[in-house]
Amino acid sequence: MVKVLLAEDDAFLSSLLLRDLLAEHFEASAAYDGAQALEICKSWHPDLILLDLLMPKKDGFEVLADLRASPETEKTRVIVLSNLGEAETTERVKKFNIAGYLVKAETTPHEVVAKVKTLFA
Amino acid sequence: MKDVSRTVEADEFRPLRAAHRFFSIRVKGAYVIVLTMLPIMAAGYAIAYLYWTPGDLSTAVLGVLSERLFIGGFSTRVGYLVLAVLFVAAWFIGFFAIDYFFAQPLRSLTVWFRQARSSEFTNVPVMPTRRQDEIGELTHLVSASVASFLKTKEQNTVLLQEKSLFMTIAAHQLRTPLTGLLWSIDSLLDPATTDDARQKLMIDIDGMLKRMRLIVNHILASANVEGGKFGYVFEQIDIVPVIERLIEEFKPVSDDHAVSVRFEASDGIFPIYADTERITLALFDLISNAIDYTPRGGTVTISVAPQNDRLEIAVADTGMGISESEIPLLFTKFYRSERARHVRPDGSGLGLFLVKDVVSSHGSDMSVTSKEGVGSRFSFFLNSKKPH
Repeated sequence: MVKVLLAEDDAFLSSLLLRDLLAEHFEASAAYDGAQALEICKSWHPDLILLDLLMPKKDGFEVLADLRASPETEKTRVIVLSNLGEAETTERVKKFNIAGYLVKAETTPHEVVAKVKTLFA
Repeated sequence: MKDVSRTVEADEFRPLRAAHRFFSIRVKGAYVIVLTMLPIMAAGYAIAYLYWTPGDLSTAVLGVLSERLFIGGFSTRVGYLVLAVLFVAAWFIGFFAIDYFFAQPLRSLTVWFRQARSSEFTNVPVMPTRRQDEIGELTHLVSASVASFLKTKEQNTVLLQEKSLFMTIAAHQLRTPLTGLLWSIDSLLDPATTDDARQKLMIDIDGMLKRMRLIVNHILASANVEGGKFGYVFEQIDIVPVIERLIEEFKPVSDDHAVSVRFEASDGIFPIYADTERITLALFDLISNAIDYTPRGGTVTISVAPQNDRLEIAVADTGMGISESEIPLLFTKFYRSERARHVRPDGSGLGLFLVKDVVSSHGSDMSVTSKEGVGSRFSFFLNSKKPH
């Protein structure tokens, strides 16, 4: 089963997306800040991370940098799922070899799950 | 279009125009030249008249003139010729003197102004004159106007940047609950969603709409800050129930954060003057900050204590505290400390800015005492007399 880690600090948004992921038979887990996301990555080894950028403790940019710096996680697929849509931000994270960039307010959970499915089809 | 027709005209009559410009157009002062030279010219005409029509009067006047002008050694005709040349020379000298002293500075002022304008006043060369007279005054005035224009322009640029930053932040603040609403609707439309889940979603939607309302109120209040006390309605109220209601409202949040909220109020009613809506917003922000920046298990204490004819309102927490260097920056628009960013990454940096504005409109300063790692205390006063 494909393991998806959802790093999102808004518990409500997280719960909605988590439910849709589980419904589509993904093995899913949630982290509510950047530091927690990195910890889970180390112990659980997810196949994909859905990563928010504005998060407490460690923001998404730091998480990405840490992931890519470690040989264990440098190849882990990441879809950035943020409400920051400015070109400046997208350019900044695209340097980290990400699998996609989705703007939360422009995408429904169903669309997010569809995107995840195409990655593992 | 105007400029084009002017160019055509200039091309067609170039020689004529050049002469015209040289003698008159360059300065309105040419009229001055004509006027000042009129008496001299009149004298010239008089002499010519006397010269060509000899008689008793002519002889007498010319005799006096030739004596006075020490040209007696020449024949009178040569003397007249010299006089005529002198008049013409005086006319030219007068013309060029006036041109030099009045027209030239105006021309250089024009050149200076044109240069300044060609760079949209961003590169203004040194002022062309140090004269103390009318022209100097005019130059100074123009230069001062350019300076004040530049300043206004700069202020406008800053204001525009601030407005655009404000818009960006406001939009981002709204985006989070907006996403929540969109995702909730997506879920509601999903036939697989159970009735229980639907019921729960409705409650969440209600919460998000309230959050959006709060953000909109903040945006409106911040947009009004420059307007001073405009729109404030002061009424005599008891602040205690207002705070109690807020604490009640925060209950789910403080429970979620495992932060206990205490309220300390002295007995008896102490009526103060306040704009209820705005002071509620300010208190909301202070309490919300206190809860957010206090670690689990901490305490937020809100206290109300009379001091003479004023009432001190304080919100104290056992949170992470604020460093001394950050305290003066706390109330600046959009300011967010590094650590605050870590705890609440999507804050607007408008809350405390707004709080300070509301409090100062109530005639009080904001006091902050804080110790890093121990906690912070924000306090202000409300008056029992109507603020003016």
